[in-house]
Amino acid sequence: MLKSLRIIGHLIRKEFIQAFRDHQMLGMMFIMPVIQVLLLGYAITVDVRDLSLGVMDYDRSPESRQLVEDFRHNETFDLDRVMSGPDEIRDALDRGEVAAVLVIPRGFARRLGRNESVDVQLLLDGVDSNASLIAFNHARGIVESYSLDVLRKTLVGTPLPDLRPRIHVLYNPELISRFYMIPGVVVVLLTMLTTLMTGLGLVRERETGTLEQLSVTPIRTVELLLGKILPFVLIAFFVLAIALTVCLVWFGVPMRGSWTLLVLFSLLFLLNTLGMGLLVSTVAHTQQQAVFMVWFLLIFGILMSGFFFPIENMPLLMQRLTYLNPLRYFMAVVRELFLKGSGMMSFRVETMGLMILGPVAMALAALRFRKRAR
Amino acid sequence: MIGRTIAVMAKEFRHIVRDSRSLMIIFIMPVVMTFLYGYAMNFDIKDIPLGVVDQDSTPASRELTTSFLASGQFVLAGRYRDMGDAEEGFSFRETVLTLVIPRGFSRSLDGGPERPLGLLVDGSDPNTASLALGYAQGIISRVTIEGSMNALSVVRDRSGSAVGWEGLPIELHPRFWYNPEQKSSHFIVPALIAVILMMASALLTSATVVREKETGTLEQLLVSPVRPGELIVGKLLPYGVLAMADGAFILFFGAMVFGVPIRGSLLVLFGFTGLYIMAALTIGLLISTLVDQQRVAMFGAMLVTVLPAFMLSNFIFPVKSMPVFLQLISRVVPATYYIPIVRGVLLKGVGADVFWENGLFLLALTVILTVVSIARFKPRLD
Amino acid sequence: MTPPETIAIETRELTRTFRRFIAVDSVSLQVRKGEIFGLLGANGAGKTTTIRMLTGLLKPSRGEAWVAGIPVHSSPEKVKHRLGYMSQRFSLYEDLTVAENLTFFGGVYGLRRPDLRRRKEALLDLFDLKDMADRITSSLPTGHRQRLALASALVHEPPLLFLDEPTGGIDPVARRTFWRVISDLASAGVTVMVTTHYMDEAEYCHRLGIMRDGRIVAVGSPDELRNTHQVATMEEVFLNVAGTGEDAS
Repeated sequence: MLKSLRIIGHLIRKEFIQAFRDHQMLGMMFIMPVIQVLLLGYAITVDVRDLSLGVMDYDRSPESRQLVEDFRHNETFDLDRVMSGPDEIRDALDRGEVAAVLVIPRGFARRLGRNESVDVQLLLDGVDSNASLIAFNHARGIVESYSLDVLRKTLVGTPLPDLRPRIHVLYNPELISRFYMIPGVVVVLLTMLTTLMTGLGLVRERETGTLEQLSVTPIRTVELLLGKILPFVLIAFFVLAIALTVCLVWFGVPMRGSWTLLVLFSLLFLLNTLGMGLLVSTVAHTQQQAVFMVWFLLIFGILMSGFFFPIENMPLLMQRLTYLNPLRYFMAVVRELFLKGSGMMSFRVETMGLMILGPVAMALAALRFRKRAR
Repeated sequence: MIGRTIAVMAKEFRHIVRDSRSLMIIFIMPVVMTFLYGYAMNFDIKDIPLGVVDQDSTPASRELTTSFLASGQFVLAGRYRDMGDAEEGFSFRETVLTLVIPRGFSRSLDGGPERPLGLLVDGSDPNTASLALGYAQGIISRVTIEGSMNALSVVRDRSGSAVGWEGLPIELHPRFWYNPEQKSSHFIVPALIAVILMMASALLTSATVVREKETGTLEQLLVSPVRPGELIVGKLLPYGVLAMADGAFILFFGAMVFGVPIRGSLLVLFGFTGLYIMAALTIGLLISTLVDQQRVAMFGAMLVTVLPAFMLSNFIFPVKSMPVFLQLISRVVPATYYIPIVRGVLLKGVGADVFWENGLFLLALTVILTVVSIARFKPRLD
Repeated sequence: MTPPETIAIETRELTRTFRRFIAVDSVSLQVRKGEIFGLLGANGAGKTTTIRMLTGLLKPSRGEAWVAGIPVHSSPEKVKHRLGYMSQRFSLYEDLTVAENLTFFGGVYGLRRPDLRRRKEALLDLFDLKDMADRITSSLPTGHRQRLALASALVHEPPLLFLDEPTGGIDPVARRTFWRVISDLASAGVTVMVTTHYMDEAEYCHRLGIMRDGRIVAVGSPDELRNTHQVATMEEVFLNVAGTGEDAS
């Protein structure tokens, strides 16, 4: 046991010397993630806002102008352009210069004056299905409140229901996307870093022949694998600490949960990514293959983690598939910890998932990795 | 000169074909990815878990709950006694939105003292939160309108038909152009192809020059009369062909599986795709000339492509609503130019007349990166 | 059946196939303690495969191999602290310094700090690497790298040493120094098994086994081999038994 520890100690020392002697890699490991967190924090704008709106007003009456004014004062839309005809509308939508066009028909004011309903069209660039749907919902809201105003004017004295909900947003009252996305970016970077470092570790030793040299020594598989992993746990923690500091200090992401929990879950998560990396390095023959495999795992990890798209929106089969994705669990833990300050009890599924997947990956790696060729 | 370039190209081709594992990865993985994520990535939010705190317990309050559930956008996840109880539901992720109907709500409808409804929403995921809020407000507003229309018919019954208004004064009719069925996959899949291609291309070339540095074959090439430009071009073109084949493969697959329409000219699309791929390949190449070790190169290529390809590229987050400095950075991400092209050509059927500017940018990016690579690539070893 | 104690290495019908290709074919050998045993053969004759089986790197398809009294065919791990191995690639960590490489390999063999320090000093002395102790390995000339590789293989004082083409790319002077160290080790009781295709190196070996197409085709001391084949040089012996003449360059 003591001897094992000593051997592992030597392996760790070696990895550290190698890591710190490699300045290019070191820079890449420590500086790039910080730069990415800093930059990408600003890229995240899921809120649909300032959609460029074109208006085709065939009526040109005070009433129609009032409706246009209502759109102008809504922050969802940016009234960019007054259109002059159908050709211009098609061209502008084709080129993506406007996201939607409001078409007010001739006779708009006349029909309203006669208490007759009038049809107004909203042409939307449906390519971005999400944004166009949200835009339509907002437009409908504007038009409905215009309608209600008209009704109120005609029915003076009759009480009309007026339901205005009081909205109370918990955890992130201003709905700042960054608070939700930046911890996610950190998780992604951490995964990329650790999986890649371990993934390349053994493959490189195989390529340079040092793995063979190690194989004739009495070192045990477990010792070797641990010696490969532990240095990266330390490095990963350091990178995590820097990245989180950027999160908290620069972007002001609130941390409402327990730091102990965060550290514990980070450890558990690292067990997973490092296990994946090790597994890759036992399968890949060359560094390039290792990188491609890590890439595949990483994209799977990112897209099936709920980072961009909530898992609940996925088809059931895909939702099931996400249970194989350690990022899914850690992503949820980090976001919930930061914004909600949730406790251990709300992370039962996550704990289970991480506790199963990590050791399985490790065990598979240990099984696949044999010191002796067959 | 052509002869030497061709010699380098032929050699690169052999590298590619010999490494059957990598080749398989390059062709199979993107297809698997497109397939998987075309299904997985979905904005259409349905079945939002709704919590209800009904302190009124009247027919009117029950009817309101029913209209929420009947909308198809919400499913009942739990009923709670009070606000504290409801908050518990949030922290255990049982609910995203909770409707609070206060005592006296039904009386307020009939002109009693106002008792506003409450909407509690979990704001930790702002996108889902604002969608859920939007739906909820829409439902409430429709209930308001129905109430108004009812009041209207009462008035009409009393005073004859003088009031008018058979329906709402203004009806808004939406037309979703290019994507009438509102499919997320039509938005996602073309861009996904672009993102995957960019990452794969950069990864492919990032290792090429460094690998030769590591194995010493670069030295061998350097003592030959091959000039840096020839070497670089000879290395680029084979991967260009490979990536083009890859791109066509994924595109065909994506269009087939997800029914993404191809409304524009395929020829135009392939032209732009060629430009795009060359730009992406030169990114990897530049990295390859900058560093000394394969793993550093590939690590770098992954770092500079993966997240930027998703986040600084119009893939989900529109570049034009980002801060100016990020818009500037996104100018060197080839996907920023290409994603509008691929969406435009496939879904809108527009062509080069709309996107020539983007094409020029891609071309300029390729030329600049190639020139820098050649300049960085000194014909001697340090 | 365990071989007697005076026998350091014994193989019985040792065979290794890769798919249909038979790399090593029923090799039976005995190497005595303290002996320098050379495996001679053309490229691809099966020398490296034999050594890889003896060091536990490769599982034999058939047959037995006993190294230092331990059955390597069934328990390959047990033998590992008894042997030193140096491959033709001089597998060292190129980005570590000379001293760090020695420390690392010593550590991997489980040497304790005082032993480690003592061995490191002794080896740096023995291989004349003292001045280079803090140089990064990749910056060393090939001859020094080879010496470091041998030093690393000896750091745990193994009674057995396996050398797979240890002198590739090394100048004649360095080669002579290298063989002097090997001879000293042998006289101190270390058993050495070495593969080579340099005929002059064959002369340093106490006994030789010549391999061809995976089989041992001749065994004996250099003198015995020359006498049996009635030729004047090892080269002629080699050409007679090992090859067609073309591939035995």
